[in-house]
Amino acid sequence: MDLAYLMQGLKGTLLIWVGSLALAVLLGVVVAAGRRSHSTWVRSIVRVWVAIVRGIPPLVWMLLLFFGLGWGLLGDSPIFAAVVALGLINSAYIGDSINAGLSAVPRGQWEACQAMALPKRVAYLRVILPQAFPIMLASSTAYAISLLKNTAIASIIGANEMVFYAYNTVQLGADALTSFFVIGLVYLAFSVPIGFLARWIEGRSVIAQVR
Amino acid sequence: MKTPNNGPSEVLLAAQGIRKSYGHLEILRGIDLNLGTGEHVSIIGPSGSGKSTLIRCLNFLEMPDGGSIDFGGKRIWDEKSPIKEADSRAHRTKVGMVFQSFNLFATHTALQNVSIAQVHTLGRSRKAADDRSRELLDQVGLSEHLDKHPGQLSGGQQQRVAIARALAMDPEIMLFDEPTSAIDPEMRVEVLRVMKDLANGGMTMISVTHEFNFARDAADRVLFLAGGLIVEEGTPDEIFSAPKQERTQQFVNAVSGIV
Amino acid sequence: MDYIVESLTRLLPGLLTSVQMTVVSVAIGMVLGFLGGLLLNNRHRGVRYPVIALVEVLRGFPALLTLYFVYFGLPKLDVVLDGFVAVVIAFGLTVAAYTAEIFRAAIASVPRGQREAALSLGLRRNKTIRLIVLPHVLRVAVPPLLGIVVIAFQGTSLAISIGQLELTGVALNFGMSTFYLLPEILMAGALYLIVTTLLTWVEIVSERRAQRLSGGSYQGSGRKRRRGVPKISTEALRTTG
Repeated sequence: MDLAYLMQGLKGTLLIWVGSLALAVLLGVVVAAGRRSHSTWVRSIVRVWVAIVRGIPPLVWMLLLFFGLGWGLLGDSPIFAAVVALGLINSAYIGDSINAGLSAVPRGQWEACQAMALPKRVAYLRVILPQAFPIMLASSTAYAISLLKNTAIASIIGANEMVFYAYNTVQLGADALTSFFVIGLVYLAFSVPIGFLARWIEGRSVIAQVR
Repeated sequence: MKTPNNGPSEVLLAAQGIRKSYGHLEILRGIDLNLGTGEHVSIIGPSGSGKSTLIRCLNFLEMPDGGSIDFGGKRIWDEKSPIKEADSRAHRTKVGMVFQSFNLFATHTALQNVSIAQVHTLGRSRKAADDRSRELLDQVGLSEHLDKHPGQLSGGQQQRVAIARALAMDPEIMLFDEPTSAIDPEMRVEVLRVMKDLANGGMTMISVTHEFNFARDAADRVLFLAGGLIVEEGTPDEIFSAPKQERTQQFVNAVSGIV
Repeated sequence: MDYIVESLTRLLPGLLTSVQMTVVSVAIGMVLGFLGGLLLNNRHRGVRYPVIALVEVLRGFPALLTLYFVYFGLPKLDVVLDGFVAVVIAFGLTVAAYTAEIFRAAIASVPRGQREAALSLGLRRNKTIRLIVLPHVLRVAVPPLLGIVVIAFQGTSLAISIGQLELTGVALNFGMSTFYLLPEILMAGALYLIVTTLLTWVEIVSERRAQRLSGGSYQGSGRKRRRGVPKISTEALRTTG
C-alpha cells in the first residue's frame, strides 16, 4: 500500500493542530483573565464572546474566515484559516479549564500568600500554579485531543491535511475502507498516549486539603 | 495567668471603631482594640460574632468599612484614606498570621514552607533562610519532619509548621485565628504549648480561641465578642470567674459545660 | 432587511434538514449507546473489552472520517447508501460511542444500597430496574446527553462534504453562485448560534434540576453535602471533527 499520502497529510494535520493549540492557549489565558476580572463589564463581554465562539460549528467558522472575515489575510491559505478558526473556538474551552484550575486551589492558599506579603509573581509561580497546573493540564488535554480530531474538518475548505489526501487518493481509485481506516489509526496513535499521560498527571496532582 | 509585664508598655496596635458588613449583614459594629507591646489578648465569643473577621481586618485580609488602625504610633489606615497595595504588604511583613486551616503550601515541604517568604519577601539568602527555618522548626519540635509535605503531617504538626512559618518573618505581632479548632483534641496540646511559650516569651499576640484553659493561663486580657460588639473586656479571672454581663456568663457556662 | 427575509426563506429548509439529521442520528446513537452502557458494566471481560475497543476507536476517529468510511467505504462491500442515510449511520455511531460512556457512568453511579433495598422489599428484578434504577440513571444522564445533542447538531454541518443540502450546504450553494457568500454564511452561523444557545440553555436548566432533585433535601443544613449525583462533563467530549 502507498503510504506517501499519509506522510504528506500528517504534516498538514500537525501544523493545524499545533498552530491552533498555541493560539488557543494564548487566547485562553486572556479568556481566563477576563472570567476572573473584577469588572462586571469585562466578565459579561467574555461570557457573550465565549457563547458566540462555541455556538457556531467549526466548519462554519472556517468558512467565515476563509471566505471573507479574514480581511484578505486568511483567504489564500485554508490551513491558516483553520488554525485561526480552531484557535478561536478552543480558546473558550482552554480559558475555562485554566480558570477552573485556578479556582480549584483553596482560598486559604491565596490568603497565606497575602498574609506573608509574598509578591504576586512569587505567589502565582511558586504556590498557586504548581497546584493548579495538573488540573488545568488534565482538562486541557481532553480539549487538545478533540482539537486534533477537529483538524479533519479543514479538509472541507481544502487544507492539505491527512483526510484531504486520503479523500483524493480514494477519488483516484484507492481502496476507501483501508485508506480511511489507516488515517483513523494515526489519529488514535496520537490521542491514546496523550490521554494516558493526562490521567497520569492528574493522578499525581497535589492540592491543599480543603477542610 | 501569665506573668504580667512590668512597667508601662507603649501601645503597638490601636484599632478604633472598626466596622465591617457583608451586604446587609453587619459583622463588626464598631470595635475598639488597643494592644501594648508584649501583651497577649484572647478573643472569645460565639461563632458568627465577628472574631475572625476582626483579626483578618488587622492585616487587611478583609478591608474594614469604617474606623481607623494605628500601628507603632502611626496611622496606617482609616476610612478616608484607603491603604495602598505596597503599604498593606509592608504591614503584613510585620504581622504574623496563623490560620484555622493551617494553609500550608501543599507543594512545598515543611522547611520550604518556612523559608519561602524569608527569601521572597524579606530577601534573605536561601542558606540564611533555611538555617533560620531549621532553628524555628526545632523550637516547635519538628526537626524530624523538615522534608515532609503537609499531606504527610498530622493537623497538630501542620499547625506548628504554620506557626514557625509566621515567626520566620520576625513579626512584631502574631495573630492566631482559632488555631486549634481544626485539630483533633489530643493533638492540640503541642500547639497550645508552643503558643504559651511565645506569650510567656513576650511576643505581642492576639488569639481567637475556644480554649478557655489556654486563655486563662496565657492571656493578659480577654475580650468577649458577640453580635459584632465587645460585650465585656477584662483579665482572664474577671471574664471567666466573675463576668459582669449576663451574656458573658451564659457563654462561659455553655462552653464550659455548666448549664 | 429584505435580504434577511429572503435568506431565511432559503435557509430554513436547510435548517430543517439539519434538525432531522440530528434527531435521527441522536435517536440511533442513544439506543445503541444505552446498550453499550449496559455492556460496559457487564461482569465478564469477554463482553466488556470488545465494547471498550469499539467505543475507543469510534471516539478516537474524527466524525468526518467515520462519515467518509461509511459513505465511500461501504459501497465497496456492495452496500450502497443514500447520503442522508450515510450521515445518520455515521453520526449515529459516533453519538453511540459517546453516550455509551455517559450511560456506563450513570449506571455505575446507582448506589448498590438502592438496588439491594428494593430487592429486599421483595420487588421483582425487572420492577427494581424500572422503578429504582432507571429513574436514577436518567437523572444523571440527561444533562450530559443534552450536551451530546448540541455537539451532534453542530456536527451535521459536516454533511456538506458529501453534498447534503443541510443548513451549511444550502448557504454555501447559494453563496457560491452569487455575490452574497459572506452574508449567507453569516446568516447560517446566526441560525446555528440561536439553536445552540437554546439547547445549551435547556441543558443548564436540566442540570440544575438534576442537582436540586438529588441534593435538595440536604440544603440549609449549613455544611455542603457531597452531591448524590455525579456530574458527567461533556465539554471535554466535544469532538465533531
